[in-house]
Amino acid sequence: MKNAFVSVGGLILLLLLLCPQVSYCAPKAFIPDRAYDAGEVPQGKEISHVFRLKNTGDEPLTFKVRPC
Amino acid sequence: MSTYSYTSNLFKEIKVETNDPKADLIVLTMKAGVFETLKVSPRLVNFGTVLQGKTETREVTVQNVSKKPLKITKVEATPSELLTVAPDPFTLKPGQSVKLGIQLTPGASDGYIGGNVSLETDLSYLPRKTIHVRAAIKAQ
Repeated sequence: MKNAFVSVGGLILLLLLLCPQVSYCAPKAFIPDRAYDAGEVPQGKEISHVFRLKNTGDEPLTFKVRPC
Repeated sequence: MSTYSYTSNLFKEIKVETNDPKADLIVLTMKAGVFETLKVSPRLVNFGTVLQGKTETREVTVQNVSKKPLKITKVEATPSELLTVAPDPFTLKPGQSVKLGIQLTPGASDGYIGGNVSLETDLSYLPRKTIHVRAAIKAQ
């Protein structure tokens, strides 16, 4: 009986240790600013902006820009 | 990105695919209120059907809608054997407009022709503005 309790306790402990890892092991894309407004621009002028992308997860983040 | 082909509001979406299970598609947006500094009207000159041997002229209004003087440093029509344009280089004061005369003298061959009139400016961000020209040449 005592052994059974120890086994169940050990299993619960093992699950508690594994579960957070299962739920957090993923890449996470964080982009602080997803919209850029260049304001009033004369025709012909080039506009450019750098969108910052950060991986706040704990697995490598891969990404690609979808062609227009 | 270039704003050359825009004359009013610009709105662009950039779609980014990721392996983030909670954000596999991220949409980024860029917008701008594009305004013309050199207005050309019409932007496309269609002569319609022109008979061989007959010269036709169409007018195009070119206006400086900026707050600074603007120089048209070169005016060029192509194909030059069919199209001529006047006047030569000129300066436009703020708000001033000038009428350009585009003259078409059909050659020996009939059929559809396409050409353009190029206006070179002293604006660094708008070195050239193009007016497209079309016509159908018909044998008499």
